[in-house]
Amino acid sequence: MMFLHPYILWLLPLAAAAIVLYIIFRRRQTIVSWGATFILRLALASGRRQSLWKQIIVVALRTVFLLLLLLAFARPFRVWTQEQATRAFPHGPGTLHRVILLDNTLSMNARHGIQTRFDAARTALEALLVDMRPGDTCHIIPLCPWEPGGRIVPQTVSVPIAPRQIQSLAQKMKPVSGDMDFSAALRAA
Amino acid sequence: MTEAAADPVTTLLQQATVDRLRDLELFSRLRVEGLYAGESPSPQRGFSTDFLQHRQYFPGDNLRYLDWKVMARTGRLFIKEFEKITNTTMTVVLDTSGSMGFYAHGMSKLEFAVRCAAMLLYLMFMQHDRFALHLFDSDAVQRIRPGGSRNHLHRIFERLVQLKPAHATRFEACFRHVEEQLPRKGLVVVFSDFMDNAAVIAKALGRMRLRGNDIIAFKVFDPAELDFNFVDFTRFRDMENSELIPVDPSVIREEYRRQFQEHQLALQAECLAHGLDLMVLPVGDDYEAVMGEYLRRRMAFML
Repeated sequence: MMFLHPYILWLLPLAAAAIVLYIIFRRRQTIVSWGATFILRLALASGRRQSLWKQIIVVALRTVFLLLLLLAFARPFRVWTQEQATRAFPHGPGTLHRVILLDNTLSMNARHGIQTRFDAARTALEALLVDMRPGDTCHIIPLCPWEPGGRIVPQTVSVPIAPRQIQSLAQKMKPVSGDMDFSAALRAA
Repeated sequence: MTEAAADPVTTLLQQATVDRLRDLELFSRLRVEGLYAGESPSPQRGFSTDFLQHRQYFPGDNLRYLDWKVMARTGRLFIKEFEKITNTTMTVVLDTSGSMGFYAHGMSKLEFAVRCAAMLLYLMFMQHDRFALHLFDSDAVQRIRPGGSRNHLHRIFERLVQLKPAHATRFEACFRHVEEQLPRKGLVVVFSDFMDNAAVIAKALGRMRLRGNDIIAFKVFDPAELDFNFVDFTRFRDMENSELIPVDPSVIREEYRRQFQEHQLALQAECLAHGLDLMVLPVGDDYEAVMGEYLRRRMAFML
């Protein structure tokens, strides 16, 4: 299991606060003079074992609740292999492997309306990445190397991935100067 | 409750309470044995104004009570018998154990019981009946003998205003002791929180009932004792032996309330089975209203 916000796991010891408070309050008991101690003893005698269990269960539930709350804030996720996904959901759709060829030549800077062609391609890319399900993978292959004179290197994206990460990934992509090498891109694909 | 200089009667009873008492009466539902002429029926037959029955004449009977009209009609001799009307003795038995010292708001259970007892004692004084006081806690029973004078009333009230709750309670032994000290059949009024086994208490009171006494048991409790509204962990100090009982109130609250109600119901059932009159008195400022209501109900039952 992995976490989107693993640093929150450092707060897990806080879940023990319920136990610590229980012990502190037990020590800080107030003293009350009571007239109906006969009834109190009857109540304790009839439910002493039960009341002890109730106390333990209440404290345990509070601790578990805090633990789950912290874990929820840490946003756990699990990367499933295709085999695991198929086993878990035998009738569910299989995982997808997408290959996206991205034209990143300067001609993509041509403006159509309020955005460029590359902006439109980037939006479509983001939409595709957001739609991916756990287990899906995606290779983004530029038609032109990102660095002049370099090689075409496919960029792999696997789910789960945070929307923020998808956005930052898409924003980093910009049209570069150079010739389109379509056959190299297809080979890489 | 220590007002040495003040008149104990005015300390315990306000003039308004005394005025209200003038409309009320308290009689025994059973036949009692008294010393003087009064307003309570006696088991002994006498010759007064209330006709009771006829009986066959036996030689030696006073001819003054021969029913001449019956003799004229039937030719047989019958003596008229009348009900002897005597005064009654009310014995107030007051629990002064430590648990009676509990108070949540203002008045303790003992102070409340003392005020209620004072009302009854004053009522008996106004009826020209006799009254006695028995105070009990663990084993010891303090007693003020029966009397009916104003001085006697003052003596009892003085004792009542000086009371301080202490020690544990042993109902069986104390009631046995009280029973032995009761001079004759009369009215016995018990004020206590009855914090013990209901069957044991009712059995001990039932013995007094079997000896011909009319028993009224007043169970005094503070509503806070029933509510048990505590949230934090609390050590409850037993007011009778100072033992500390650590409790998480939130865990046993329901069970405690259930046990409290069950104890009350058990006490009512046991008292009913033993022919005792039980009245539950929640501590509050309106003790006059509560007692007045009870006395009115009892008067209605007597009519």
